[in-house]
Amino acid sequence: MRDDDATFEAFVAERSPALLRTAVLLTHDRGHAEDLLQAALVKTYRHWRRVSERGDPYAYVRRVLVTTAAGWRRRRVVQEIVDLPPGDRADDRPSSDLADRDELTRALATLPPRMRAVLVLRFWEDLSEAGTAAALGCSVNTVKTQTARGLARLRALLGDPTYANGGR
Amino acid sequence: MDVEQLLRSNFADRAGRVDGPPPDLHATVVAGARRRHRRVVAGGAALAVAVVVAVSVPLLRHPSEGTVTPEAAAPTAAGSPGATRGSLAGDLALLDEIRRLSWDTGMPSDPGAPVDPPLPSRRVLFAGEVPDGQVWALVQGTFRDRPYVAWFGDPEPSDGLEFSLLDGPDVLRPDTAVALLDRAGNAGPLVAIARDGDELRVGVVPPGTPDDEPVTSWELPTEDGVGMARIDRQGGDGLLRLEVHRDGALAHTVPVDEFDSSTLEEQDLDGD
Repeated sequence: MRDDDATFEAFVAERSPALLRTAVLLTHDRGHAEDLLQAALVKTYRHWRRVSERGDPYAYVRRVLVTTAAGWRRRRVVQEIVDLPPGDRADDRPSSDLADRDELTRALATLPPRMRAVLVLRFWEDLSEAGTAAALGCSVNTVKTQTARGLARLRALLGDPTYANGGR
Repeated sequence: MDVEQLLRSNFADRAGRVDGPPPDLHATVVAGARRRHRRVVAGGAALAVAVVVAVSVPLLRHPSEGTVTPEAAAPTAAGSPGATRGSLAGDLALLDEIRRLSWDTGMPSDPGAPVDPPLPSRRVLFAGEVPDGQVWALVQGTFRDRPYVAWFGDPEPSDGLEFSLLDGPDVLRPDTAVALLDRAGNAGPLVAIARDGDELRVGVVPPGTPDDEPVTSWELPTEDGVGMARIDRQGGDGLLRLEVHRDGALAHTVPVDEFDSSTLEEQDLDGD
């Protein structure tokens, strides 16, 4: 296990920052995200030799991460879990965009965990519908449905007539 | 800006504000994995914990090569939904003992706390002998309003049953099958628990296979929703996948969870 331990440690050092970012987007909470990542890595460690022999283990860990996150219930109300430091807003983007994003973050927090996981995989991890289905262990049709419903709910929650009418 | 673009910007903004993980993350994970191997207690007796560490998963060979050995599915306790299935389903004292087994893995499986379903919420979905003589049990419990399952078992039951936590707890998705494989050695038992009437198939996803590409699969001998086989694996690697067919159509697929019964003793000596 010594070589395995070394490669696992190297993987954790190299890839856990990216995995933690995804975990934060999935959970909307830094503490929960760390718990989630830790649980996913423990599960991965148990199968490390097989996982690492298949190539880049990132996809496997991400799958564990999102399926675990999708199973975790949302325990806090939206106001408690949305983290929007006002100091991070300073940039050259139009203020209306930033307002939209704040609203969007609150809206995202209201989605069921599995629906949110689909959106994170599709629009943050840039996975295809098939890749998202594989990561979540569901069908491509489920991904399509969850994506469409998730986007529709976000449009409705944002209350913008443009979004309510289908956006683009 | 459309909502998809907003989503991408939102995710990028928020991800960019995430500080790095704790510097001791690797050590914490390894320590947590080893705590998982601690002995669990049933009825006051210290029992050996099954251990799950990484070994290669060789390729599943086609049954025509004589490598998947059908086993008679365990007799069922009753035909009614929710009844315990398996050859030991009639042993009520044993089922009660199984219900009381510890689910503690030493790791958080739900935000802030290990999954520990209260005893009244627990019920044994399956308890019985599996191919190669092991005894396994699948227990469902409700924790914080969510259903979870955990696999327990005794890989060497000849000296009296001593159950260990084999795999889980994991969230039980609605109306979804679960499957577990002992990947110790070249051959080991696979058990799948599904809905009565489901037809089950097992396939292997070779490395490099695109996620949406169909793979060759083989029928898993199934009775009353319990599928069993002895899986003989020869070289190569790949992930096993269970396909659940209902009413003549593929209903869903799930990965086959795995544990390694052969590392139990080694891990017990490893500390904890």
